[in-house]
Amino acid sequence: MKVDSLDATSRTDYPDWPEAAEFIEKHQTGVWRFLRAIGCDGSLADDLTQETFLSVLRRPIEIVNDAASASYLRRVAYHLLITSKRRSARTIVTSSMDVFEKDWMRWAGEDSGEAAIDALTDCFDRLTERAQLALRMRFSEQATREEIASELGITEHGAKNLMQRAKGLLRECVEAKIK
Amino acid sequence: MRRSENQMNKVNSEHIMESLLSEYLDDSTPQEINVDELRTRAIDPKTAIRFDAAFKAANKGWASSTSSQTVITAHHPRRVKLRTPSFWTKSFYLLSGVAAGVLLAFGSWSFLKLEKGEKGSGLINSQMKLANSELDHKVKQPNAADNKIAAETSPASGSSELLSMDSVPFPTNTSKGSIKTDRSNVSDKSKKPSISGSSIVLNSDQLVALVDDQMEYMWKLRGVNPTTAIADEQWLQRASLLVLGKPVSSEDQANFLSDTSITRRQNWLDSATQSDDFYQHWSNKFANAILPKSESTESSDSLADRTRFKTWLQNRLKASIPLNEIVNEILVAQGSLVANASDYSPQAYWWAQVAANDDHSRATNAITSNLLGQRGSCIRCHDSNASSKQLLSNSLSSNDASNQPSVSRDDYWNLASVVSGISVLGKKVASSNKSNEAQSAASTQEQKSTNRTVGYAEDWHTLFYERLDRSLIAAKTKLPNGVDLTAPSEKRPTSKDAIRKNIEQLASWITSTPTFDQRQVNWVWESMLGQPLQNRYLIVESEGLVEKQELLEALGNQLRGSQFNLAKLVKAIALTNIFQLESQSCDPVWYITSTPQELADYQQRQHLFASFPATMDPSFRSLKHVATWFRKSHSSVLGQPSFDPTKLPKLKDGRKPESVAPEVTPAQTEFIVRSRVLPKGLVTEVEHWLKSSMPWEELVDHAFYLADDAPATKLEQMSARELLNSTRDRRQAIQRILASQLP
Repeated sequence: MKVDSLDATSRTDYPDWPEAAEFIEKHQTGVWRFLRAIGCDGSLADDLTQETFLSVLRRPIEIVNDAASASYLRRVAYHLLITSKRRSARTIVTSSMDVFEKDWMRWAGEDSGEAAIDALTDCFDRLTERAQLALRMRFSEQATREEIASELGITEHGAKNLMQRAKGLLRECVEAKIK
Repeated sequence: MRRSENQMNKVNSEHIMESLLSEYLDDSTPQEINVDELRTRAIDPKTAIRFDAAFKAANKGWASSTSSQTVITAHHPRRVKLRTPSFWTKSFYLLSGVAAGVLLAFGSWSFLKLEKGEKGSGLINSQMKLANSELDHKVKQPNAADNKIAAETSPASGSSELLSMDSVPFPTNTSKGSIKTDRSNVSDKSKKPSISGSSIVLNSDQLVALVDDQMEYMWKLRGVNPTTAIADEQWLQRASLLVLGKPVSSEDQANFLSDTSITRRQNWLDSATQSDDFYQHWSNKFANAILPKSESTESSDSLADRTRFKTWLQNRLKASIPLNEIVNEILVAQGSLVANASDYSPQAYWWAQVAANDDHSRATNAITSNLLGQRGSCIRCHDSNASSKQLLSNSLSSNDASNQPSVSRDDYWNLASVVSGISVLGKKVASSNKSNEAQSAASTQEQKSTNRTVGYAEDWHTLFYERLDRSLIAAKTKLPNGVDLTAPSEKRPTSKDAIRKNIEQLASWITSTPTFDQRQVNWVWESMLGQPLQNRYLIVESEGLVEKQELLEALGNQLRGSQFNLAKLVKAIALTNIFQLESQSCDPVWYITSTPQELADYQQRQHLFASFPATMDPSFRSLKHVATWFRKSHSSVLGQPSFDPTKLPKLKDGRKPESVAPEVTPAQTEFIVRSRVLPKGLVTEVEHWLKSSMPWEELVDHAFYLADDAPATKLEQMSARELLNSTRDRRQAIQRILASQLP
């Protein structure tokens, strides 16, 4: 399906792409998750996801298949992130996009990471209560290591080790499940 | 290479896993994309601007002549056409216009009667106001139903495209005289509106008009052109974020859009301000407004206690307890912060935070700054009221500046003396003091075993403070309104009962002062519009000092008159014109390439609320960045040619280019920060500082007090030192710090 029905002069007007909504709905979550994975917080990921689709609306692409579209969108999102980070003089979590792309495909596959989230949910329940609490405080409440240590009655170093071990276990468990 | 790729795989997997974990635990989901809005954004910006102008022109046409109602469509901006309505539509608008005219005339007549002290028919008045407010709202909101009406080609399109932004007046007040019946003297916008109105509690529409009139007067006085108004959907997104603290849900959006009534914004706000999200969001905001900013070294800031305090606040707000009563309850609270203790009192968290470690100066700062909106950090050392009053009285013509309630240095220390009756038991040991793991474990145990309790002091020490002439003064246990709390026969209160009575009187005084009311308005205003209506440091205000102060006082009076109805104030602000203005976003390239006049206009708009605050102003940077950039920029002078902004491509009309902005070099960033103009009062103040023999660190603290009402942290002091070393000029460095930090 070729969606680039707009010529160069009309592109600056009102893009007429009826399937845009469907296209965005299909790929939105994948782009957003990918952006989160390469270091964006929620709101930046939201903004850049919008910008990614905006860019595609302005310069429509030829759709070959979903996987190719998703890959193209990730590229656009990645470059937008680089631009954004350059502006704010911050660094990006990965130096090699190609390697990251491969790892992302290994984790998220072609279902935008839904299977990985399911696996994570299952694996998370298998952690000890203390580990779960520590990770919840860290990721949900943005608590500091000091606060986590205080809540669990351990040292900061202990809290760090506990979370590192828990994350390691989670990673192994999820990787085993999605293989 | 192989090994390094493996390592990268592992690191990547960790990042991916952490992001998924964060998504799962935080229950976050991507914000739903509004495809229609995205399509609109995909339009060429220049065309979009013209389209917006044409849209406003159409509104103006409607407002000035109802019989020639014009409707335009958003479908194809290059062919924006004005459509002549059908006979039935014309008839409807004609009849509406006649009815509105009759109501308007009647409204003005009845209000004139009301002003003369005669009581008109309340029912007729309220019907009139409702009709007028509906009419007004219709003018204000280009609703989606109208937008959807397909436009047809008309010869008028050419002229609409040629309209410039400046030629389009703000599309609101042309038919607004009707809802401002109590301010009918404001027909001429260049005439100063009378906004005292303290004796009458205004309804929501009148409150909106009060703000709009004052803002418009302020703009007219200075020839400021506000930015254009946003459309309904954007308004909903903005309102949802700022009123409910969350992005608008698809269900909400659908409901809003399906509501075709002319009062749909009010309807949405009415429903939103009843929701749990509203109470949760505003209890958080309220807590942040009254609590001092937490410091990174402050380990006693227990997450659980803070959460319980916020939950308590939320419940009180939900139970419709007025803000002044809530603050009163907080101030007289005592008891334990442990949830299952018999004397459990979650609201005691406030005292536990502000008076921790018996730091009564911190507690007094919290009272003066967070509850009364005064310059606590200044007045503890300087009797700066005189200069502030002078500053106000120089500008105030009608109001007597001496009536402005304020706290002097002596008052500050007298308050500190009253506050020293509060005692917080069960202090936690700061973790930074721990030297090894054993000590750390011991102190952790101590932290777990000691629980904070707020009570009254067993022993009362007289508080002494030093004046600038080095003389020591004993603080009195006295309130700023002159009430001496010490019994005549006693030199100081000796019993817990006496202390309790003192604290009760303190709470009663705080919550009854006009400055308290104004502080409440100011933080609500700041939460909605990005900056306070009036900065507590008047020297920071560059323009509109008097008009803003007048409005602040009027809104403070109204807040008290409405029994501190938070929802009413929030709704009124959300319906004002200033809340609907477009954000004038500007990126570094715009900053660099704009002319001094454009930059001055931009800054003036920001100060006078003539544009909605930009989410990211490139001139606002952390001091660390400024220092680093400046150092790099400075060193670049040795090896590279210095930055010349004139060599950059000049943008026509000073707008943000559509293309992605190029990377900003340190020199350019330095240029951007330098381009911020400091208010004259502040420049004079800096000169005053420089003449004193103040050490550099203290100078930096003063700058931070002005910007943040708190001294600089260690990290900020380090950055400031770095900046000083780079510039080798105290004046230049401190001005750079202020320019980067001030809101």
